[in-house]
Amino acid sequence: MGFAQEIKALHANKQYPRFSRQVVLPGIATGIGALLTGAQGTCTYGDWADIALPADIPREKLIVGVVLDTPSAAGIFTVDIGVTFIPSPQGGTVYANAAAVVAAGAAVIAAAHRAEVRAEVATDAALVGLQIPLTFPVYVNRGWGIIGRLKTLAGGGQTIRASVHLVEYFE
Amino acid sequence: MSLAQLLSSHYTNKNRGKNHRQIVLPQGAAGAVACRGVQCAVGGALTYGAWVDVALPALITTDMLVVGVVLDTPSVNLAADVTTVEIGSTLCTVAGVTTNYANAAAVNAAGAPTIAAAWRAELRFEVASDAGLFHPATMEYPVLVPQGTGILARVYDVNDVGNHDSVYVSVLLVHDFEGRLT
Repeated sequence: MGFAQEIKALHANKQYPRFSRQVVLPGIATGIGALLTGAQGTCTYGDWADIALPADIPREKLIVGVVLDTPSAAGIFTVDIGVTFIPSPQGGTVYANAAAVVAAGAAVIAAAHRAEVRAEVATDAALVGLQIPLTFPVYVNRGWGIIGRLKTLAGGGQTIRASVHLVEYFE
Repeated sequence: MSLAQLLSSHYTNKNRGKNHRQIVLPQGAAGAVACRGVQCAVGGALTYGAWVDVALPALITTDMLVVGVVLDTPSVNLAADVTTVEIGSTLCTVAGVTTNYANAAAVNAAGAPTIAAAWRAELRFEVASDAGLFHPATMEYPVLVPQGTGILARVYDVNDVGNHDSVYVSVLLVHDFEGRLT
């Protein structure tokens, strides 16, 4: 059963989550995706950038989709969505933002990864918002940040903007 | 936590999604394999081409689920065509005997029953143009890829004109990570 079917079934059975809603981040203050910049090298991730700061996540949510907009040029883009919580056998650490994750070094940078997506995109004019659902939603606890990074086939520091669709419950 | 336990908890607890990651294959590091799909050529109009490696068995270091397929860079003659993609596995069962083949070439060399047995999921796309916009197709029912088995792809289209149209294929996969750092 897919997530959508699960939600429908739960609604039909009047079970949790009867009170759910979907939100988009970054939110109304910017109204556009967070700018992600790939590395100069081909197929090499650029730094993590903030999509949502911990203060933007006042309650636990599920990332159910990724939206890409405004690429710098046509190309093949791979976007990684991450969170600022890094698990460990001792329980884990919540970093304040993308910069803190980057500053913590390679192991933490890799561990922040949660969901990669890939798409070939055309041009600004043709790309009106590429929406990529996630079959398995990504969990984001209260107080975690959401971050993104980009690698491209062409390299050269190409950019694209990324937003996330999230579902939250407010019972 | 095993993959089966993960899936079970995914649907029965509020812990949905706490211990999994989604990746894209093929994936390239700097100077290595390109971060795009693998090129799959059709075998002719309405005829599957040969199986091609999306991921070799060594890349599948834990149980994974294929949850989506991404196309890129169709050949000119594939433009504005309807293309059907098949995702397969090197783990093939023929006449009750299961064999994990080393790669796509080995599956192809094993002949028709094995080639057919590799099949796991078919998806169809209408491809706009080679400069087009390709939405990933996500799968409501993921395909299990056990640790150590390779992932394959092959394609056919409607209007191949004899010069072997092609398109590049990537897959989206989910695996659990049990709280490990990497």
